[in-house]
Amino acid sequence: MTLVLENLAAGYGGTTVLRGINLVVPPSSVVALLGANGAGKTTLLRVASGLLKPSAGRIHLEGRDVTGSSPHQLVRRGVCHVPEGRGVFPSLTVRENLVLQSVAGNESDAIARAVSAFPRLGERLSQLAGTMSGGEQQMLALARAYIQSPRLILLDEVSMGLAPKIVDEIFEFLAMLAQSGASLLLVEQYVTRALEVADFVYLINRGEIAFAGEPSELDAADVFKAYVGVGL
Amino acid sequence: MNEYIPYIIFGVTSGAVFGISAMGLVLTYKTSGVFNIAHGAVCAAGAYVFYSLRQQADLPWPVAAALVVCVFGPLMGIVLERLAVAFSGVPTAFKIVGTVGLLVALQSLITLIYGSTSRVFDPFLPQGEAFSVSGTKVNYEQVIILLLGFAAAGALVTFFRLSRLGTAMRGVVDDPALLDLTGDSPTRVRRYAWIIGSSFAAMSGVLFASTQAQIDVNVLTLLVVQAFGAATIARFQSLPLCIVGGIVVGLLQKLVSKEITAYPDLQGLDLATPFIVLFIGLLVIPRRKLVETGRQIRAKAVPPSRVPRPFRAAGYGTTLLVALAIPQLWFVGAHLPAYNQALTQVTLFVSLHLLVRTSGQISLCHFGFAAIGAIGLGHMQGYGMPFALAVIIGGLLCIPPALLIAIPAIRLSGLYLALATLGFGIMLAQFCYGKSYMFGFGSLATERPAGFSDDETYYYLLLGVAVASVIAVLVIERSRLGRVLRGLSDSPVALQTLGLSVNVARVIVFCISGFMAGISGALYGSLFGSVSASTFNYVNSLVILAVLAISGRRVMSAAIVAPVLLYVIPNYIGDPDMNTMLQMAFGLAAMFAAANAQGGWDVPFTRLAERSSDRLRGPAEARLRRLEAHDGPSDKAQPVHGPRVPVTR
Amino acid sequence: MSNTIRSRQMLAVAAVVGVLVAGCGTRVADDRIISAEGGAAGVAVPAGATSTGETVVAATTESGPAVAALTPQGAAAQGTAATNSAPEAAASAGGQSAAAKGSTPQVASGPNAPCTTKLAPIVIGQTLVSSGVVGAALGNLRLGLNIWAQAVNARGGVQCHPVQVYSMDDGSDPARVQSNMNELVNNKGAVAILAAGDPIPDTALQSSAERLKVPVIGGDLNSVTWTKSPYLFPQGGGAFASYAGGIKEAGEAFKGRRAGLMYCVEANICSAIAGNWDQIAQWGGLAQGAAKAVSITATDYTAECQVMKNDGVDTLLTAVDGSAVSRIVRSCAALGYRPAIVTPALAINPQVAADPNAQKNTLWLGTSVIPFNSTDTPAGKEFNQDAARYAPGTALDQSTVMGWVSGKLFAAAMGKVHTDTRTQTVTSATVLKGLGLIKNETLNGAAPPLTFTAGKPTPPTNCYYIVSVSEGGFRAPKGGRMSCF
Repeated sequence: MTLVLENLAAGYGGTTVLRGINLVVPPSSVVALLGANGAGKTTLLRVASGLLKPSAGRIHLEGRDVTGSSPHQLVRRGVCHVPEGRGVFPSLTVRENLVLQSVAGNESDAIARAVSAFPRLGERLSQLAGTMSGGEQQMLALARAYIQSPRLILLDEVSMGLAPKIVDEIFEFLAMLAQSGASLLLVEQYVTRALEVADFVYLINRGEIAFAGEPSELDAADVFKAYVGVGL
Repeated sequence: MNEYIPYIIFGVTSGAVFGISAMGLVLTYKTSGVFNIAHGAVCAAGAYVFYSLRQQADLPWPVAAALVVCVFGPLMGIVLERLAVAFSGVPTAFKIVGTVGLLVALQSLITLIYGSTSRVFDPFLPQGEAFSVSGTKVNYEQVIILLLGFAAAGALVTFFRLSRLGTAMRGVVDDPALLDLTGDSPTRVRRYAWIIGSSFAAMSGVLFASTQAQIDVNVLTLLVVQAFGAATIARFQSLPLCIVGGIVVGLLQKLVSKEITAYPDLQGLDLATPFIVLFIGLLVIPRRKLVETGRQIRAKAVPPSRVPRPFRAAGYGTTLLVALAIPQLWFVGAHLPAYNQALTQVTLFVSLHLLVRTSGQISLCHFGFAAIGAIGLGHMQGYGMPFALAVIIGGLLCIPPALLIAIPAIRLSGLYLALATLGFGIMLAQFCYGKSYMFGFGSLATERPAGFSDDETYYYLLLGVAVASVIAVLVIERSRLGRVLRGLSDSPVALQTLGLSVNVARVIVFCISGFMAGISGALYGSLFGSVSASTFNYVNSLVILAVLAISGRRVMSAAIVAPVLLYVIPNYIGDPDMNTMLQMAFGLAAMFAAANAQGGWDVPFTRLAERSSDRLRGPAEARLRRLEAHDGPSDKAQPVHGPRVPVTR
Repeated sequence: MSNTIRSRQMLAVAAVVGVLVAGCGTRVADDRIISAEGGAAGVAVPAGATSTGETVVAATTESGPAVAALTPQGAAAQGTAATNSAPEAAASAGGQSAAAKGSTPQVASGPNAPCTTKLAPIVIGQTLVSSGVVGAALGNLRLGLNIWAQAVNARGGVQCHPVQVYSMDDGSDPARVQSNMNELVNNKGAVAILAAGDPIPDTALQSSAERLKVPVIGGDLNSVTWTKSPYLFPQGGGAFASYAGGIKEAGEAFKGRRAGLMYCVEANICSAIAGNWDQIAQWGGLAQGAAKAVSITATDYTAECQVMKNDGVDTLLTAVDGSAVSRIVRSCAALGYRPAIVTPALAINPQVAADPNAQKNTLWLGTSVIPFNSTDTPAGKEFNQDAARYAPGTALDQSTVMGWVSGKLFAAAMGKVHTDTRTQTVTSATVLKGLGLIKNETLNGAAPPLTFTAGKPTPPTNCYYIVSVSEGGFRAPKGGRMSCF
C-alpha cells in the first residue's frame, strides 16, 4: 500500500515538530526513517497512523486522502502502527491482548497465527502482559503486525532496549512481513541493520527531511552529521 | 448472636443497593478518568422518571422499568460521555468542579420540576414476607434486590472477562491510544461504559426509592455519597469488590448503629460510617494501588492580566469606593443584611481560591471549617471572651482538623483528596454537629461585638476584614510560599528535585486556608445572633466550589463575584423557584467553566477552523488553479511527492 | 373580577417560572384562595407558580360583593391621617372597589361596634419559609393568615381598618429573614408581623423584631425564642408542652409505658427536642427510653427501630421531617413493631397525612392551638367556616389554623385599644399597647389562656391540644379541648 505524506506539518500544543514533510512509502517496500532523538520520527509515525492530527498538509493512502481519519479507521484500511515503548495492555493477559488485536469474530484464528509467528507467546497466553520480559512484550506488540495482515506497517524503534538475540528474531520477523508484500516504514536506532533491510531511506533532522534516497547513496558521514545535528 | 441477625439482614440488603450504585460509579471512573460526583443525581433522576412514567402516566411497572433502564439510562450515559470528554483535558480539580456543577444543576432541575417535598413512591416489587430469621421479616423485595445485586455484579464481571467489548473497556483504561491503534474506537468503548454505568445508576435509584416507598431528591442524591465508601473498599477499581464493599459498609453501619445506643456521645457515628471507611481507606491503602485513572493534566498558569496596571488600580479603587458607599445606595435598603453576609464570605472564597487556584489542591469541606470557626466563636463568647479574640480562636480551632486532612493530602492527590475532604465534611456534619462541643442541642448563641448591633456600622467592620483577607492572600501569592505553591500546582516533581519540601507547603496552605475559613465562619455566625447545624449544611461546600469556579481566575474576581452571586443576588429574588433556577444556573455555569479551564473550547473551535480551511481545496481552489493555468504556470510549488519518486519494485 | 397586580418584575419572574413548570403539572398551586360570597374571583396566581415571593391580599370594602381590590406594590398606604378616606391606594388598575353598601350609621362604641366609615388600611407583614423540607409543613401558615385576612375584611376590617397582608418567603435564611423584616416594616409600613414561620433562623427574627420595634404575633412556635423576647407573642401553647402532650395522649390511648425518641441531626429544632428529652418524657408521664440520632437522608431506619423495640419503647417521639416519619413507620413495621408515633405537628402536612403508611400506625400530633378539624368550639366552627368560604377545597392542616389564630390574636389586641385604633393612626406602638392588655385571652377557644405583659417576654404556656392521623386522615380525638401540665 502506498503512503504519501504531502507537505506535512505537525506539533504538540504550540510547538511545531514537523515542517514541510514530503515522504512516500511505495507498495511492498521497506522505508527506513532515521534521525536523532527529538528530530520528529515518532511524531511522523503518529501522524501517519492518525494518532496526531497534522496542522498542515495531507496524507494519502493508496491514493485516497485520509487526513484527519482516526487511528481505528485507518486500521480498517490496513494500517498497523507498532508504537514505541511496548505497545501492549499491561493489565490484560496475552490472550486478551491478542483478542483486542484481532478482527472481531476471528479471535481464535488470530491467536493461532500469533503463536505460529512467536511460539514463546503460546506458552504465556494466560500471563499478564505487564509481567513479561521486554522482549516478550515486544513480540506481543509485533504480533499485531501479523494478525491483522496489514498492508502498511509503521514500526517505532521496535528493537529498543532488547537483547541482541531478540533483536535478531525481530528483524527476521520484519523480513517476513516485508516478503508478504506489506510496506514497512521503519524507525530504528540500529542504523546499520535498518539500512540493510531498507529499500529507501529518509533522514529527518529537526523536523525536516534532510535526505531522501536509496541506502547506497547515503554515506556514514551524512548519517553521523544528521545525528549530531549538523546540517547536511 | 441472635440479636445481631436483624442488623445483618438490614446491612446486607441496604449494602447491596450501595454496591450496585458503586459499580456504575467505578465503571465510569475507570474507563473515563472522571469520577462522577453527580452519580447520585443520576440515580435520583432515574427514580423520578420511573415515578413519572408509572404513577403519573400510569404505565405498568415493567414497561416503566424497561424505559428507565434501557432508554433513559443510556441517554444519560451518552450525554455524560460527552461531558467526560469535555472534562478530559482539564486538571483533576476542575473535573471535580465540573461534576459538582452537574450535581447542583441536576438536583435543582429535579426540584423545579417535582418540587422539593418528597412523594409517595408505590413499591412495585412484591412486598410479601419471604421468610423470617429470628423474628425479623425479610420480604421478597429485599431478596430480589440482593439477588439483583449479585446478578449484576456477576454479569458485569463475566462481561468484562469474556466479551470483546469488556476486554476493550479494560484496555481503554490501560492505554486508550493503543486501543485506537488496535482498531477499536476508544470513544465508542467509553460510551458503552457510560451507558452501562448510567443504566446501573438509574436502576439503583429506582431500587432505593422502592425500599423507602418514597422519592425524595435530597435523600437520593446524597445517598450515593455513601456508595463512595463501597468504592473505596473496591479501591476504585474492582467491580466485584464493589458489591462486597457495599455490603461491608452496609453491615458496618448497622452494627455500629446497634452498638452505640448506650453511648450518647457516639450518637451519629453510624451515619458517618461510610465516610469513616472512605477516610480510613484513603489513609491506609498503599499509594501505588490508588493511582488516579487517566492522564494527569497539569494546570496552566494563570496568564498575567491583560489590563494595564493603572487601569487595574483604578478599577480596584472604584470598587472600593462603591463598597464603601453600599449602605447608602438606593438599591441596598432593606437588603443590607445580605451584603453583610456576603462580606463575611469574602474571606471564605479567597481562602478557597488560595487552595484551589494557587496551589491546585481541592477541598470539599470548607464549609465545615467555617462551622468550626462559628462554634469556636459561640463557645468562646460563652466563656466571656471579647469578640476579636473569640473570632481568632475560632480560626485557630480549624488548624488541627486542617492538619488531619493535610496528612492524607501529602500522600494523596486530586480526586482522592477531594473525596477525603468530602468524607470529612459529611462526617463532621453528621457526627459532630449535634454534639455539645459543637452546636449542641438546638442553636448556639453568638453575639456581635459591642456597639455593632446596627447593620450599617457592622458593614464597615466586615468590609475592613474582607479587604484585609484579600490583601493577605495577595501577599501570600507574591511571597515565597506563593511561588512554592504555584510550583506545586505546576509540577510537584520538579519542586521536589529542587529540594523544596512539597509536604510542608501542602500542609501550610491547608492550614492557612482552613484558618481563614474558620474566621469567615465565625463572622458569619455572629451576624444573626445564633448558629445551628442547618446553617452549615455540607452541601454548601459543594456549591461554593461551583460558584468559585465561575468567579474568575484571580483573587479579586473571586472575592467580589462569588459572594455577590451566592448571597446578594438571591436575596433580591423572593421567589423560591427563581432561586432554584439560579442555583441550576450556577451548576451549569460551573460545568462550562470547568470544561473551559484549560481553554477547552479552543479545541472544537480550532477543529472547525481547520475544517473550514479545507474549503480552500474545494471549488475556490479549483478556480484558483484554472486562473493560474490561464496565466501560465507560476513558480508556486506544485503539490509535491517528495524530492524523488522512488521506483517501485 | 378581582385580580392582583404585581410589579412587572414579578410578572416576568412568574412568567418564566410558569413557562418552565407548565406542562410539568405536578405542582400543587397552594395559593388558591378565593374570596367572598358570590365571587369566584380569586387572588389570581400565574399558572403553575407557587409560593411566589409576595402575595398581596388587598383591602376590601364592607360586606357585599367583597372584592379584593388591587394595590400596587409600594403604594401601600401608610395609615395616612384621614380617618374616613376610602382606601385610595386600593383603586388601581384593573380592579375596582365595590361601592360601599349604604352603611347604617350607628352610634359606635366598644370594640365590636359596627363600622361607620372605612378607615385607613393596616399593613401586616409575614415572613416564613414556604419551600423546601421545612416549608412543606409550615407553608400553610400563609394560607391560614390569608383566610383570616379575607374573612376579617369581609366583616369590615380590624376595628374598621381593612388589612393588607404582605407575605414573603425567607427560605430559612437568616439574612433573608432580616431583609424581609426591613422591607416589610420600613418600606411597606407593616405595623405587625403575623404568623411568622422561622423555626430555624429564630434569633434573626427576634433580633430584627427588637431592632425594628415591631411585634411578631403568632407563628410556628417551635423555638424557644418565643418565650425570650418582649416583641414575640406566641398565639398558643409552648412547643415542649405539645410534644409531651402528644406522648401523654398516645400513652393513654394505647396504654403505653415507655417513650423513646428519634431526632434528626440536621436541624436545631430536632436536636433541641433531644436536649429537653428528660423534661418532655417526664411531663408525658411515661418511662424515659432511648434517644437516637438519625439522619433524614437515611434509606431506612430498621436498625434504629430495632433499638427501640429492644428497649421496650411503645411510644415513639420522632423529631424528623414528614417524609422521614413515613420511612420510620415503614421500617419499624418491617420488624413487626408498631409503636405509637408522636411527632411535631410542624412535620405533618396534608400530603404526609395522606400517606397510607403513616395512617396505619396512627400519628399523634400535640399542638399549640385548637385542632383545625374540630368544630365543638366557637373558634373551631368559625375557622372551618372561614376556610370553607375563602379556601374551598384546599387541604388544611395544623399550620393553617395556627396562621388563622395569629390573625385572631392580632384582632383581639386591636380590640383592646379600640378607642385609639378607631381614632388615630395605627402604629406598632398601638399594637404593642393592645397586646400588653391581653390577659387570659382564649380567642373563643382557639388557644389556651394567653397573657402578655408589656415590655416583658412571655413565659411558656404549658398547654396543648391533640390531633391525630389515622385511616381517613386527620382526626381530633378530643375535639377542641385543651389540656395543661
